[in-house]
Amino acid sequence: MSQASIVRPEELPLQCEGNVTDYEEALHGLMVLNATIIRSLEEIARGGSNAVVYRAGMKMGHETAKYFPKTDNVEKALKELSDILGRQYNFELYKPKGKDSYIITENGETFIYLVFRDCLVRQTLRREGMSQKGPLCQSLYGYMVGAVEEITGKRGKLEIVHVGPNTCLKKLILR
Amino acid sequence: MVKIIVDKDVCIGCGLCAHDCPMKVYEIRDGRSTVVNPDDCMQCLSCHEICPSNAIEHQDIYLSRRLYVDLEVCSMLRRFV
Ligand code: SF4
Ligand code: SF4
Repeated sequence: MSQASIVRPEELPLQCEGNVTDYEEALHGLMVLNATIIRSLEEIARGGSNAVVYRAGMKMGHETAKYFPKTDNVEKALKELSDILGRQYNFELYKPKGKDSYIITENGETFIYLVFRDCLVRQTLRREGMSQKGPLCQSLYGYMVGAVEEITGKRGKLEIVHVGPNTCLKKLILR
Repeated sequence: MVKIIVDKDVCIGCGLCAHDCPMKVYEIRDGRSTVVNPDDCMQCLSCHEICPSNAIEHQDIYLSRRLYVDLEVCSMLRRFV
């Protein structure tokens, strides 16, 4: 680490510095911190922790999608969101065999299947040996619902269909 | 397209893969797991995790990044294990 005796605000670097191992260390620190907060939240707030984390996710979703062009085409909105989120939450729309549209209506419910390939939440849970489908996963539900609501004005709900070590399948139910 | 191979020589026919797979990719036939619906595989790798005999192999899939692997801790553990 270099040390300067006098630092003026205008001299602060505008870009990140350091090498990749610094970031790796910081990333692991953040994952541990995140997991510890969630564990403590579960101990104190129990069932309420899901609601708190869901709300946090929803805020993140609204915030991220605020600058997206508005559309009422959910499929288009999700594809754009997936492009932008790429590195954090890499997801794709999923069409099971025999379906001709991503938007599926079954038993009076309209939904879209999403497969999440890379996911910050899954990384953290596996880093800390925590099970999937817990409160931290609620952040992703909130995130998606918030982002879709922001872009399309439509309310929704995200349900987990299946979690795996490499991919999770979720169902975005549209209202 | 994803290619899934079950090694019939090591499969013990426990049926865990067929039970756990959300896409009904496997069926137990003649006491061994058989791939019947590979097109719907969404590459979750739950079947890999649950198979007690490591009989399953997937080819040409997207492997999610393993950022959670703490290389520093691993290299430290390697000194003891
Ligand atoms: S990876 Fe997942 S979807 Fe594919 S066969 Fe295995 S359990 Fe089924
Ligand atoms: S889980 Fe493994 S051992 Fe069991 S039936 Fe499936 S492939 Fe065979």
